[in-house]
Amino acid sequence: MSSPEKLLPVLSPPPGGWERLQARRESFSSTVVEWLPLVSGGLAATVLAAVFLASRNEVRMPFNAARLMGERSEGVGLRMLDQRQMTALPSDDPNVRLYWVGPAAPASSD
Amino acid sequence: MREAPGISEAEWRDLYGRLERPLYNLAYRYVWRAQEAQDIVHDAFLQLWAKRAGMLGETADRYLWISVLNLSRKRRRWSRAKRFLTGDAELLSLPAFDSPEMNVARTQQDSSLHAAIERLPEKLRTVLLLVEFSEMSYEAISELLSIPAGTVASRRHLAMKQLRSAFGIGSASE
Repeated sequence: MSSPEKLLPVLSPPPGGWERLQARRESFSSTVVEWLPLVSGGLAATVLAAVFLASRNEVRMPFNAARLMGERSEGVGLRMLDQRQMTALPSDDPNVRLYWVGPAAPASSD
Repeated sequence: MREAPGISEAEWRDLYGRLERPLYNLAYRYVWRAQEAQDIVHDAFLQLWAKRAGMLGETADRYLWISVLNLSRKRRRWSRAKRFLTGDAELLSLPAFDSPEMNVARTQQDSSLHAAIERLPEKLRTVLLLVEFSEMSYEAISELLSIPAGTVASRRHLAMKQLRSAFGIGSASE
């Protein structure tokens, strides 16, 4: 390369640059170390909450369906609904009625 | 045989010792603030440190120059946007001389130089500053900027011409 004439003066950086750089690197590393468990914990909690909410929806759907069916079948012990049957189960609380919903028993040939 | 990737702490330190000053001078001509220019250089070195495992020693120089260039441009754009949004006309109108050395540099000539560099188009400024401070060949700079070596030479020539014109110096000496 040709040696071009220098127009721009070469300035010295502020003193203590290496020490400042090292301090920044160390603080960066320690910040990562401090935040890593917190971030991981937060992420795990979010995943667990999502799984819980998803599974909660899955549980609630049949429960609600059973409750509705139970309300509509007041006074009737057994009812056929679209190839399914609902059987009343014993309950200790008179205000609570429990039903088991399952596939209908095959019709007898008689 | 290819060098195994990875930069040791000692190599990182050597790089800093060798490149701190030229990188600082490049960054300073973008942001015109001593501390901010040093922060940019430090940001580039921290990025290099974070990527040291996959970095080849031979590409570290190139990585640092490109990083400082990009960070300086970003910082400059951000400052200009801030100045535009806040209407603070004085924010970048003149460099903030924040060290004794800068106070020495507060001369009419340096103010003119600052203004002249500020007026340079980005392409010319980049080439001029790399040629001035990196000590890289035109070929190396052309590889760094992905432009032909001839373009590096012509851009540098144009930049020098504009600076000389700003100073009222004839171009015969080049």
